[in-house]
Amino acid sequence: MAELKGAGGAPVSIAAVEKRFGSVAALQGVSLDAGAGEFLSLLGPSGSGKTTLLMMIAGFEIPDRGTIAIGGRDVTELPANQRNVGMVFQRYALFPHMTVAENIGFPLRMRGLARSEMSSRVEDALKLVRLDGYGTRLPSQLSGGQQQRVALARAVVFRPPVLLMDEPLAALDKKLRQAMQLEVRHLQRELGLTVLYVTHDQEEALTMSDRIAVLNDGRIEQIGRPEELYEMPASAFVADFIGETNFLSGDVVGLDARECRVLLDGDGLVTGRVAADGLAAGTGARLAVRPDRVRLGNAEGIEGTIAERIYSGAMLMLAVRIGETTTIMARGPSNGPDADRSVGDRVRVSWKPEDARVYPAAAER
Amino acid sequence: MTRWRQVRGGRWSPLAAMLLLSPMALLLIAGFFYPLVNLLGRSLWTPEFSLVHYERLLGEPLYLLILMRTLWIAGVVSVFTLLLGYPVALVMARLGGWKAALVAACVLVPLWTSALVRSYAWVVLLQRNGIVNDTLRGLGLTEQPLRLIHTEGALLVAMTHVLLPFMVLPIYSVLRAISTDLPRAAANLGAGTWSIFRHVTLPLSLPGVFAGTLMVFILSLGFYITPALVGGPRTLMIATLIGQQMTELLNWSFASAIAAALLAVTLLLVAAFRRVLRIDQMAGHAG
Ligand SMILES: Nc1ncnc2c1ncn2[C@@H]1O[C@H](COP(=O)(O)OP(=O)(O)O)[C@@H](O)[C@H]1O
Ligand SMILES: [Mg+2]
Repeated sequence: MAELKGAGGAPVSIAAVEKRFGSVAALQGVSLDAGAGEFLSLLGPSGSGKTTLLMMIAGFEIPDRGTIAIGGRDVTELPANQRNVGMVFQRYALFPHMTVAENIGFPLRMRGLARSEMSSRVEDALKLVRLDGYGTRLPSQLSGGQQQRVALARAVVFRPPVLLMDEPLAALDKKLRQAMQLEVRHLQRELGLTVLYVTHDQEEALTMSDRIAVLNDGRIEQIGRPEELYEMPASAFVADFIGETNFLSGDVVGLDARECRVLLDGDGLVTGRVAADGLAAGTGARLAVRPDRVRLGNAEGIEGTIAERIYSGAMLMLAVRIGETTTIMARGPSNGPDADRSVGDRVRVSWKPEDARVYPAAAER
Repeated sequence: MTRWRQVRGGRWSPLAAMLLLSPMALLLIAGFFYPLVNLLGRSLWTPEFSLVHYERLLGEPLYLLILMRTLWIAGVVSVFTLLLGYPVALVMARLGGWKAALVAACVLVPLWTSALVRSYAWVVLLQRNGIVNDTLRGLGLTEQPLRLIHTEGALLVAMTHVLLPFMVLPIYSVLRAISTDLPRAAANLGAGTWSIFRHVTLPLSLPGVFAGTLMVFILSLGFYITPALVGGPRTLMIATLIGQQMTELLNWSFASAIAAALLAVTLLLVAAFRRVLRIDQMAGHAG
């Protein structure tokens, strides 16, 4: 295994990168720094520019503007075959006419390694992904998960300081995906690699990453640790994209430096933290609160009726109807204090002001 | 509900399959197998069983020479079409949009023109007072008209031209089917343009190369019109020989024996080719 340890990871620095395809602005001024050995996820909906960004780091696309540096060296226009970054493609991209060992040996062959050195490194890489003994098979003789591991072995066997992965687990079923998440993370720590990991699955990003960059429409909405994104989403988009969120719209009626009071459209006064610029008394606002932070009681808060009760094993979700148009979801342990509430019961809904966040209504679109 | 309408996991019932195959099967039996058997019969029974026509075929050096020449010309034409056609297919596969359509049209238009017309075009170009000779004399490069038509060179050029699409199209379709991820992956792993071609594109395109080569080779073996018009009597090929025996000498039995020999050689070569190059297996890998 020691054979595969290279010099560890290298930092990746992306500065003000822009890219257009005809009339489509795929990236509009993206800046991003990944530290050496960091696991950084690029998270965003389909079409947000994640693949384009990865392709630029790999050298398959050249930015219209901006620069890309790996390990402090500007590689913006360096050809792909001289960049020395590993990459795992979404559909694996294994060479179908080569055996597993030939696939993994390919980057070593391109680097002119001696035959003996090559085969010992290929063996190590196969062991690393727990596929020893599979070297003579063809990719078509492997399962999806095994092909994925071959792609991973091939991407790290030449000891690149940076590993790029484009939705590598999207094609696998849930169980296998979770096992592979652990395996990828383990490998990244073992080899000390800098990993840029593209995904549209927020749960995957939350569990695997040191930090997450949320992309939307070719821009970075927010970069931060998983807890930061979950607890303090910088925009309504991030609040919506990561985890589950109740959005309540209304008008700002009171505002100070920290807190904002909102009169809901369906009546009821609620309070939350100011989460973005652009709020002023009288303007439209959206208050976001996580279902697991919503509390049900009989004394304080806005009044409503339980409209639905969704049991899912460990958790219980209750949908509370407020007025004509608004529904607030509340989630708690299925053996918690709300366990014996049933559909039709009247309840009062509240939350701690620091658990709710208020965004200007217009900023979302 | 009738039995043959039932769909079982996407498979046809045997009855439905037979119904679908029968028109083609009838046509093949009536139009191909029956004449073939008839032909073989004629070459062996005249009217008693005898091998006299085959003895004549093998005993006369002229006929063996024509057979060898046919194989040689078919081989050279296969190599020429491959050398000319592979780059064309490669460019076609790389280009997108209207440029690819334009190149494809240039390759396909000859296919829509009959081989007879294209062969006559070569006759017009290459004959004694044809365009090429006139041009050469007009430029003062030659004094006497060159002997171009009815030479092996002329035949090779004309056959290469006529058969080129049969090489380009199978290679093109295989190249198109290669995922763009593969050359990208190769580049990412450190391969330059030449290495990507040598280690990825070329090996994955081999099924198309084999299919094209086999098709051109077999078509060349039995080629009739172009050798007759452009090759002339000096570069007689086997199909022309068969035609002569049938239509001019009315020696159907001997013509049948030559045809049978051509068929045997073709089948043998196809079998050997498949064995050596394992076409089926290679095709399986390209997907
Ligand atoms: N080669 C290309 N040609 C034209 N448009 C492209 C190309 N690559 C990406 N795009 C466009 O750029 C935008 C971002 O695409 P992409 O980076 O693939 O997003 P993601 O990977 O986040 O789904 C999309 O609108 C997409 O249609
Ligand atoms: Mg993508």
